[in-house]
This record gives sequence, C-alpha cells and structure tokens, in this order.
Amino acid sequence: MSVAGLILSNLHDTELSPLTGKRTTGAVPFGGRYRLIDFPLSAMVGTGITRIYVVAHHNYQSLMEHIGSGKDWDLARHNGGIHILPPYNAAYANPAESYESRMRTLVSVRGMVERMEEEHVLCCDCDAVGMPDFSAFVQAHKKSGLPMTVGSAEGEGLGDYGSLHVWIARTDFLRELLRRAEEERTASFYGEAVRREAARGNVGSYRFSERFFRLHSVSDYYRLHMLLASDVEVRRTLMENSRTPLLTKAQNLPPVKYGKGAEVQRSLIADGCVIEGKVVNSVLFRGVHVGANCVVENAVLLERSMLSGNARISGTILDKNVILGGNVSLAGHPSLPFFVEEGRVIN
Amino acid sequence: MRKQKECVAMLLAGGEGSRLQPLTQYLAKPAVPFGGKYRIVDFTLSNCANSGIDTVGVLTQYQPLLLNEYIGNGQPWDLDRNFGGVQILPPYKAKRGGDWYHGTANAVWQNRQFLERYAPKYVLVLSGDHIYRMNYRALIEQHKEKRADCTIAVIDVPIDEANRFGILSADENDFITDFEEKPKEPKSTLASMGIYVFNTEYLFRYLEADEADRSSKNDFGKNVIPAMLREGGRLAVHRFAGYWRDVGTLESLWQANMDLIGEHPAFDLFRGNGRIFSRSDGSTPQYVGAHGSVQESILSQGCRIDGRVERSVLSPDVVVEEGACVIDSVLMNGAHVEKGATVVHSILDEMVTVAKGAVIGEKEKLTVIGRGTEA
Repeated sequence: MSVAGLILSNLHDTELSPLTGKRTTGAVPFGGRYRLIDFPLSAMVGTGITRIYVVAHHNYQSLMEHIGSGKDWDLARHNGGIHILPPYNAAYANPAESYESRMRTLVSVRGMVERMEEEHVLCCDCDAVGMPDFSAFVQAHKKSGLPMTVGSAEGEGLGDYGSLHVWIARTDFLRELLRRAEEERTASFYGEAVRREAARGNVGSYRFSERFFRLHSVSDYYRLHMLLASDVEVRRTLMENSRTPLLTKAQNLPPVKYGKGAEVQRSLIADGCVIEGKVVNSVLFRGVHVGANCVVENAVLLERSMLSGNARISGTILDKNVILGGNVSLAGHPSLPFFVEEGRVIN
Repeated sequence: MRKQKECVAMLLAGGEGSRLQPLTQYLAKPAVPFGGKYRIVDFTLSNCANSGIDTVGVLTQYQPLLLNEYIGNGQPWDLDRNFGGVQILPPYKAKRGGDWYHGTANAVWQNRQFLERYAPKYVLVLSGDHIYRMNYRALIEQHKEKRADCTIAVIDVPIDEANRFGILSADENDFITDFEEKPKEPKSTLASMGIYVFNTEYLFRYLEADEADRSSKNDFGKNVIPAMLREGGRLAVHRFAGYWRDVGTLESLWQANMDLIGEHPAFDLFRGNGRIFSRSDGSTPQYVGAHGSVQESILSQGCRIDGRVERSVLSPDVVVEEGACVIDSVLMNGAHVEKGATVVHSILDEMVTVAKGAVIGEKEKLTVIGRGTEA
C-alpha cells in the first residue's frame, strides 16, 4: 500500500496530566491491557499500512518499551515496520518550543518526510479513542484527487474542523507544506498552513461514521472506563471490532485467579489479577491484587496496584504500582475522580 | 571457529495421547490447553527458556499442525535465535532409510544430524506432556559433577502408585543400581520423570546399537536405559522435590487443573521460580457481568461471564451466559455455556457449546465432551 502512517504521541500531554506525568499521551494505559497508541496503530495495521512512524518528544520511555520491535503489531519488518522518532530539535533554538505545537512537531520530522517513499501520509494523534475504518478514509481521499483530506466525526467536541486530528495528505504536498512552514516559521498547522491550503481548494473533508471518544481530561478518561465496565456496545466498538482487532503488547502473566470470597460484577479484568474481595463496576489492569476484605467500586486500577487490609476505594483512579492497606478509604466523584499517582503507598 | 552448544534439548511431542481422547482427536497431546491460557507444552518450553537452554528440537509425529503453528518461531519462549532456537522435527524420508518414528529412542536417532549441527556435549531428552517447573541447569550441573554417562530426574511417588512409573533403585551415591518399567512389585518409590541428560557420544553409541537390535522397541525406558545399566554405565539419579504431574489421562489432566486453584494451590502459577510463557492470542480482558459470580477459579482473557463459576479453570474466550452454572470443571478455548445450563465435574473441549438449560456431568464421574459437539 502506498500509504505511510504517522502518529504524534505527545501532543495532548497537558490535557491528560497527571496520567502523563511520566508517559506520553500515546503510552497512557487504557482498557485493562492496552495503551492509547494501540488504537491508531491497530487501525493503521488493520488497513494494511506497514510503515509507521511514531513521533515522540519527551517522556517516551514507556512508549518505547510498549512498542519494542513492533512484533505484536506485525511491524517488526525489514521492509517498513515501526520507527520511533525521538526529538530532533535542530530546527529551533529552544527545544521547549517544539513540545506542544503540532506545526513544530511536524517540522521536526521533515527529514523523514523528505525521504518517504510512500505516496500518501496518514497522520493522527493519540487522544481520540476509536476504531476507524482507515481504508474507507484512504479510498475517499484518493478518489477526491485533492492533495489533503481532513477527517471529522460525531461526538463531544469532535464536530469542529480538524478536532479529530486525523488527516491524510499526498507526501509531495506535505513536503512542500513543511518546507514552506520552516522557511516562514509558520506557527500553526491548522490555523495557518492548512487554512491557507483550504482557501486554495486543496483540502477536502471526510466524515467518519465510527464512534470516537475524545479524551480532553482525566475525568473524560475516567468516564470512558466506567462506560467500558457498564456498556457492552462501547466494549464492542472499541475492543471487539471484528473488522480491526485491537492489538497490543503481549505480556506473559498468568490468567486471573478468583479467591473463595471473591465478589465481582460489571468489571473488566486483565491477566495476572488476583481477586479475593469485592470488585464492582471497575476496570482492573494487569497484575492487580484485591485482598479479601477490600472493596473496589467505580474505580480504575492501573497495572500492579495492590489492595490489602480493609482498603476501600470508589470513584478513584490508581496509577501503576499503588499500594493501599490498613483501613484506607478513598472516594472521588464521577465528575471529579480521585487520582493516586504512580507508586504511592498509603496504609 | 566452529559454533557449538553445550546442551541441546530433544522434546518428545509425537505421542498420540490415546488416553486423552477425545481431546487429542485433532491435536497432539502437548498442544492440549491447560491451566487457562496455556498449552501443556508451554511448561517444558518455559523450563528450557528459564534454564538457559536455547536450542530445542521438538519431535512431532501425530496431528502436528496446531502444535507447529503454536510453537512457530519460538518467540514467546525466547527461542527465536539466529543459531539454535526451537525447531520442529517431523519424520522425513532420506535417500537411505527415513521412516515414521518407532519409539522415543528411534525418534532421537533419526534426528542425529540435527544434533550434530550443534555438536553438543550433552543431550537433554524431555517429554512434552508433563506439568512442572524445573531448572534443568541444576540437573546438568549435577550430571557434570558426578561425571555420569546419563542422569535421570526422579521423584518420590507413593508406593501404591509406583507400578505406573519406571522405578529406579540407587546406591548411597545416587548411582542407579536397578531400573524397571512399570514393575508389578516395585522395589523403591523413585520414579523416572522421563527427563534424561546424556553425554552425546555415549548416547549415540547406544542408539546405534539399539537400532541394530531388531527385537528392540527403540524406547528409552524399555530398551536403551536397561542396556546402559547392563553394561555397567555410570547412570545417576537427580532428585526433584517440586510439583510434577504426568497429564496423560483425562482424570490426571482434570486433577492437575484443579491443583492450580485455591488459596494454597499445589501448583502456584503466581509464585515460584520461573514464569510460564505462552503464545497469547490477543483477546480482550475478561468481563464479569451484572449477574456474574466467580469464585475459586482461574479465568483467561476474553472470557465473558454472566453466570456462576466455581472451582473451575477457563481457557480464553469462554462464555458463560446468565443463569448458567459451571462447577468443578475445565473449559477449553471458546467453550460456550448457554443460558441456564449446568456443567459439573466435566472437561469441555475447545468450541463446545452447551445448549440452553442442558445439564452436563455428574458429581461422581468425570465427563468429557469432545470438540465441535453441541451438548
């Protein structure tokens, strides 16, 4: 296929803070065993795109660990495969500048775009959770004959032009656009560069029919996980899509073990968990332990959190490796979930 | 410089598993699902990986398709190596000879070219149908220290079960004095685990002689080991004290699955040295629904539970619908228990569907439902 993929992994880090304290948006854990980047990656791989570039500007250790050689997405290849593009700041004197602007992020990978053999580049961010049919998108773009097509979708905060952050462009067109942006020090990708091209009639639009969930905040993140625990349609749309399977890094953890007093309902539970207590309406990531007298309600527990003693949590997100014990009781509200940062020990 | 390996493992995976019928109808015994997300062969392959043995020949013969696909390039067990790694060794035709494998010893003999490529000092012979965690390094180190010709891993078994095993007697220095295959009146309780390490040259000498003997059944336990003993070979035992089960029968397969559950399981997947690796199929996390209840069980990814599950082991993608009940059972990949059905003390093979309201199994006797059945 003559399309290369380009994934911008850092752009929404501030919105999802503190989940992004030590990771890029793309590496934010999702749905029990995934990370946000699995969605664009799987959608691209499912369309037959086999050369994918991931742009990472900071905090990208967990992203690199997750992607590894790319074999879990069938992207460990000699011809094509996955390439992580770490910071390349020479274009700008101040490296801090390149972190948040889409325009500068793209300009920083201009060298790669110059060398790209594929005819088109499909680009997306990691903050819109969905399983789009990119083949239909690519088809529509090619058929239109326009040099660039910008995607949009129904949904909260998604109606605006460009807010889905999915677009496809002819590689020669993108090269020219980036060359010019570098020369003229263009500040904004959509606001200046794309708008200018649109005014010349070079930009088409495409409406995705698939459902997307845009994550603007940690509350959005929490709400979507509560939907995963309660709404079968949301689980089907995102995780059990027969057209495009959601792929992720394989980890060799044992299956889930349920103890004698376990009480589990409406919950999504990943491998390696040990559950002896009560878990209701929650999402448990890999390797979480819930002790016999513990209660977990309306909560999201990231990898390897441990609850022992009489710990109780509700309306809470535990980041990785949190240890709770004693009589600790934590409660948040759906509109304001309580967040416990990675590695905290409270007992 | 000629590359070589210190030790190469030969994993015997060709058995028909006739006592595991109907589970082995379409696949070889080592490929039978076990412990939820695993297949039997995962345990031996993971032991190799955890013992630093990176060259493994897998001898297949019976229904090898799924096993071939499952093992693949060996990547889940870190056995995808540029030199060595895992290699499937089916029987083949050669200009002279070449035939189906006749017995375990013959299977290794027919693949001596594979072994010669790596010129190992030691050959480790393993079975693909045992559930255990073992560091083969300790076995090989002991073999070297004792300067033995062959070392056999042994485990103490209850005297009333000794007649099911190859039983060994050893002197005070752990050298073997006597070996009997399934003796009617066992002289000891040291049972062979079917794990042997040989000095390669010594092994080849005996395999060649065994091939020449037309009356031989070409079996390690029945022919080769007794011949070595008769001729005064230095055969030692290596004592193993952990959990080890031969899951060659339906009853033992069920029991070994049950050994994984409970607060202090006989075999703990979560604790102990050495992770068990397996090829993951990328299912979603499991989901327990509003009417679900799961206790004292092991469930794999992709399961959807809206009924009651107790003291059971479920492989990936098992569905238990609302009002259904699964107790004391082993359900393999993709088994589906429809609304209101009951499954007790049973093994359901892959893709078995239990229809709405049906009742499968009885308390006293194990029930096994073969693949592709609608019960």
